[in-house]
Amino acid sequence: MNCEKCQALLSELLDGTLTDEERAHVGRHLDECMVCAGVRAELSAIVTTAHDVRNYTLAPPNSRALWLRISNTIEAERAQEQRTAAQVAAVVSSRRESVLTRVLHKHWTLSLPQLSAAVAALVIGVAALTVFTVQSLRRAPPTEAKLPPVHRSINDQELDVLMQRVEQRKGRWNPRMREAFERNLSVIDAAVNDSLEQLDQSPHDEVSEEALNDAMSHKKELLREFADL
Amino acid sequence: MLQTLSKTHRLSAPLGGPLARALVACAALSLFALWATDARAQQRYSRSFAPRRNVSLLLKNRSGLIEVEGWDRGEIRITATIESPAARFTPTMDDDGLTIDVVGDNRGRDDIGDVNFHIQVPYESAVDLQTASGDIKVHNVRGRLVRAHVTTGGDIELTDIRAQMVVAENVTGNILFDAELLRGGSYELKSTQGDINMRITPGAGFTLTATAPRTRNINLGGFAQMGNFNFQGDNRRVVGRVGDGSATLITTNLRGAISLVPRLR
Repeated sequence: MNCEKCQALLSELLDGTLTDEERAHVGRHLDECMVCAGVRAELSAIVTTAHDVRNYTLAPPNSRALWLRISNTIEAERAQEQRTAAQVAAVVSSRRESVLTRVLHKHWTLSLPQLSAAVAALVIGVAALTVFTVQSLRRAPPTEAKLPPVHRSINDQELDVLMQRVEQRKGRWNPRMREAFERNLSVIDAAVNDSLEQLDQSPHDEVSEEALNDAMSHKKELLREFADL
Repeated sequence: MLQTLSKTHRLSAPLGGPLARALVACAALSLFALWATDARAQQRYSRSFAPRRNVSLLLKNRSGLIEVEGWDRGEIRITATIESPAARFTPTMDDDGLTIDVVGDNRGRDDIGDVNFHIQVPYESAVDLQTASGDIKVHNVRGRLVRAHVTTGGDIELTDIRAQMVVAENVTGNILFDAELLRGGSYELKSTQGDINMRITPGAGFTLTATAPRTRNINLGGFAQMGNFNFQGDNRRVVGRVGDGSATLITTNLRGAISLVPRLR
């Protein structure tokens, strides 16, 4: 008998299921082979130990308590998430609620003097707002819609285009020419402003209208010439 | 005292010697160099033209002085000093008259120096003078038109003028108009800021519209008694008539004064 066949029969040998003839053959080989004898000894120890620990259980001492703890932890985490979501929703909804809503929902109790003071304050506020608006409209520069036709040239697109061309070229002029241009343009602009101020006070003033036309004509001419230099 | 005199003597001795001579030589060289530079920086142009059919002059300058005066010759003589960087120009003569277009001939050149013109024209010439910047003087011209236009700043002096139509315009600078107004003539003087002074031949018949909206400074001088005048628009405008009112004199000064005085014969 060789080692391989011997080791294959070792398990049955230990179980006592071999025939007498097989047991004799295995016994002779084990007497002669130290390796197979060692394997039989190790296998025999495993089988003995298995027999010894058969009555021990590997379960934890109190598995039900453990599962309860796990379950409680999960439930606690879920409850926390729900509370957080509820708080966020509450904050958002509280922000949406306007001051006006809160004021309106508030219960007001006013005495007669308080009510009178509130009405007086409201009237004064509206009057002040009206006066301010009227004055602002008077002070505002005349818009194209309000201007008589003669003034509309101020918003002339040609002026804007010429001014852009001049601005592009101005950097290349000699300083003397640039200074002359800027000084005279500012004089013309001052004349334009004179006329506009006068027209603000007297919108149909003929002298101011003509003066404005003259000034605008000078300005256009100046820009045309310098845009083409 | 003796010590001071002695020091003075010691100091003045070397100054009167080679050092002083060297200093004088250096100064002379410097003056020569300056003169030579100036001479090279300025060019002179001089040319005469014989007018064909119409005696008229059209000059478009960029910057510099323009002086035009009438003379008793039948030719136009141009004298010009051209400052560096030198502008180019080529006068052209045709049936319409003589044209000098410094603006057109130098278009695209951003830096050119002044061109100062002195032009003599026959008395009966029509002159149309335009410049972006610089003074214009016209003297003793009696043609059908005298026009002086300064786009920016420059004084305009029109003296001894006898023309059917006169136009003078500037933005800053004074305007002096010394003229005899002709029957049916048209005269227009406009400035944005600068004084307008007019000396008009007494006895001329004209209608006047003078407007000075900001200063309200309109002085009619001796003419106040010669015609009928109305102050309008809160004294910002004067409208009136002198004599037969056949000539039209319109003057506007947006931010300056207007003065009208009789001309001395």
